[in-house]
Amino acid sequence: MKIFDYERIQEKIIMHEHKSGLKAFVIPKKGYNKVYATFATDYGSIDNTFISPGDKEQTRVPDGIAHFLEHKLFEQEDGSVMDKFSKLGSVPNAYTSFTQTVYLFSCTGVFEENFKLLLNYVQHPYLTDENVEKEKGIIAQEIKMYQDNADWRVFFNLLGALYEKHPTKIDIAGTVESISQIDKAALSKCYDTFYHPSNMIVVVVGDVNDEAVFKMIDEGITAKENPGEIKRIYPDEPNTHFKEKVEKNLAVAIPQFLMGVKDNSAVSGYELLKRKVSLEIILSILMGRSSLLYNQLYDEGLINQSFSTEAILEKSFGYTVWGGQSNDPAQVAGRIQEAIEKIHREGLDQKNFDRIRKAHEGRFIRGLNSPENISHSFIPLYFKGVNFFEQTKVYKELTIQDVQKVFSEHFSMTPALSVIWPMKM
Amino acid sequence: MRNSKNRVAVSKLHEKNGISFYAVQSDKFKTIQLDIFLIHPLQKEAVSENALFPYVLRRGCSRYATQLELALRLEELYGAGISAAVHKKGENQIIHLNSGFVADQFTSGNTNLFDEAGSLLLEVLTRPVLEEGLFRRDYFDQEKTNLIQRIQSRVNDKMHYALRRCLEEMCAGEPYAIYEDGDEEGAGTITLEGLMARYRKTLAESPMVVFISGNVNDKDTGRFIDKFSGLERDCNKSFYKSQVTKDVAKVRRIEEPMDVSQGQLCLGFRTQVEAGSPDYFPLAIYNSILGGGVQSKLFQNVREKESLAYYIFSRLEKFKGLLVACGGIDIKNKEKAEKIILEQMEAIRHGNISDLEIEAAKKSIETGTKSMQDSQGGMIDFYLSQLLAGDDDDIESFLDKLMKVEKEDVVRISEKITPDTVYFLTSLSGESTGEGSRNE
Repeated sequence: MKIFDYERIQEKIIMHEHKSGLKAFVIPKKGYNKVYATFATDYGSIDNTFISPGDKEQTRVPDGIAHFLEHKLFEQEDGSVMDKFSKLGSVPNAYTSFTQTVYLFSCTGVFEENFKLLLNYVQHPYLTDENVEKEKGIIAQEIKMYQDNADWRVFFNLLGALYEKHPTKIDIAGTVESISQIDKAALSKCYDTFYHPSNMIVVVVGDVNDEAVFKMIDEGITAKENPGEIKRIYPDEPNTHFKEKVEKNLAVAIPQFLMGVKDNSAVSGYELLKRKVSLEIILSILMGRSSLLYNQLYDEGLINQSFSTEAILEKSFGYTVWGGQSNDPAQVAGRIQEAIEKIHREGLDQKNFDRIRKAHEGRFIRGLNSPENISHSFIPLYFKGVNFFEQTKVYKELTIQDVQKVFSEHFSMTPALSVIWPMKM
Repeated sequence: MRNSKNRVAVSKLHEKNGISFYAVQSDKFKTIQLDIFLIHPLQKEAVSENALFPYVLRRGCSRYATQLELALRLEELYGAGISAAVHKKGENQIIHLNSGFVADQFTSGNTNLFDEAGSLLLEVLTRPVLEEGLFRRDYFDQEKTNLIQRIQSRVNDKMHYALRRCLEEMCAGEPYAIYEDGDEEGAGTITLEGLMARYRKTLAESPMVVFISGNVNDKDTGRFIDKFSGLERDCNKSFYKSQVTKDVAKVRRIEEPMDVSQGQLCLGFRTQVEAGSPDYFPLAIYNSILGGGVQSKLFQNVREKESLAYYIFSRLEKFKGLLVACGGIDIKNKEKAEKIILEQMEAIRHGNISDLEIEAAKKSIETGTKSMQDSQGGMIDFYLSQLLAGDDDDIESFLDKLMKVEKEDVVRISEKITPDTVYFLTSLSGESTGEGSRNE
């Protein structure tokens, strides 16, 4: 057992490693009624081509299979595991992202029973030809829901502009066509490859007894022999953007746009976290609420409050992204490009940097009230080799020189643009 | 069942001039939050102006006259936030100003964030940037355009659009049909003079509720409350009570075509149950059994058994006594889905409810309510709702009453629920698009 203490933010993490290689974490939240527990695997939608431990040949699985498997794990031989959680009064859920699949529940009572149930069902898939077929109708509706969702479409169209080959450009749920090819054998192959305890973590956030949690881990996790490394195969992706612009029409009222710049740093661990925070600070300096550019665009009616920015960094891909609603996305794009060039010429301003770093740290601390937020931030970062709470260290150590360097590297390409226009009537 | 050790204490501090102050006291949060609510009945003639002025106020105040200056100041205050929003609860329009910031132990030096953020929030509410006694013309024009865009953008989220269109059609002619943002026509006719007059009137005359949440000492709280004493108030109104009971002569059917690949089906019902009535408790259990979660009849039958939908749920509008069942389905499955939804309601009416369903419904609401105590926003919303409902229950007595609901109560309540409107958002052709044909 190891304890990591973060005095500055009054948080700590207690870690325990199971003999299978699984790591379990307790993040205590004193005085909270709710316990938020997650069981996550380092496996997401981009992992569609791999060589399983012991195999010689690579396997290519249908798009959307990680998400499909997430749906199917709820089904157990003796019925849906959701029923069992409901009996215990807890709220079960699961989600699949580009890089992880996460199973979770939140409860305000009988934590032990809920927790044992979580550990148990994720380790015991029950797949039959019939139950795999049955799920296709449900997931087809989920896919259609996202097809009609402008926020989702404008985002994936941007990824399609940034990436030529990388599977992050593919919808997490796949397509109605691709999921029709999914069968029991393919699901089992993915499960056996990616759901080994050594590829998984457990995170419990709440007012719980850590020793009791780790005891349940020791008893509830089946210690399989470590099979060795999973080789994940991603295509060689060019460093440049694939397309400058992608446009589409949907039933929306105001045009929606997103712009982005690919990040080719391929860093991991603490360096990744530092780079992510740097990019977030840069985005705020460039076009945040306190920037001249944001305020000019807002005053001219070119953007509205829907405008936001984000930095995404994964091991095999990454990008900055920003956008919202605008009647003239091309004009906004041009103005942002000008602001980027201005910083290339003049550099970042120390006063802006200091103030925005402080503001970002404050917002980071404000986010620590929420067990969901802690858990959702902790899991993906851990799989990338860094502990979320280390972010407090980043704020302390980061210098304007670090950030200036990231700026020069990252903003070397003209941003790509994705626009959803309203339907022509 | 009870868990009193983690209680978040909510207490009334003070009431004067139609402003009531509440403290949501807890030391488990890292933040302090200040929330000011102005409560105004939904009225066609006032709704658009009330929906606009909070956003004009958010543009700046006398000390920080532009959004840019305000943003710079908030960043200096460790990324404190000030936000304006307009909500709707029953037939009331709720104007909301909020400030959130980190508690003092996370700041370095001797900044008193509470005093400064509190003053700023109040200045945003009461000391707008004026030109010849009116709001700045450019702020007015820009925020008016933004309001119209917000109204137009309702269509973007198809599920919520369908849900709200169903409620609107259902309550046509009643105040509840009015959106919290009003409509495009109303927004278009707002004048600068009219807006200024409305702002002054709403600020002076509407009941105001203020919440102070977090670990705040009495002295700081007292100073914050004192800041309201300079407000000119003329408020003798209590909260407007929504009209709940209504006879339904005939079920209305609305189909709206749009360029979509998935159909959105919403069935609207009148429950005839008022928010503060004892019948609300069995109604809440009824809703949970019908469509409240993964254990619910709708989820089990529409999704798990028939694979017709990914999302399917029912929801209560507590203050107006409405219940809506919604699902995203293939267009060709509309009749089938509607039939299954109605069958589930029929089953409840016939007492076809297992002990497990009752238990799961109770536990699900209990878990949700207790979890709410881990969120400052959740607590505030609960207590504001209780105030509007005229309900004195705190969380514990609220839960006690829910736990006492019996199967017979749920069956009895089901008799009151009458179908009102069936709304369907469908494709332009009214037919299913070929599967996968719209994939990129």
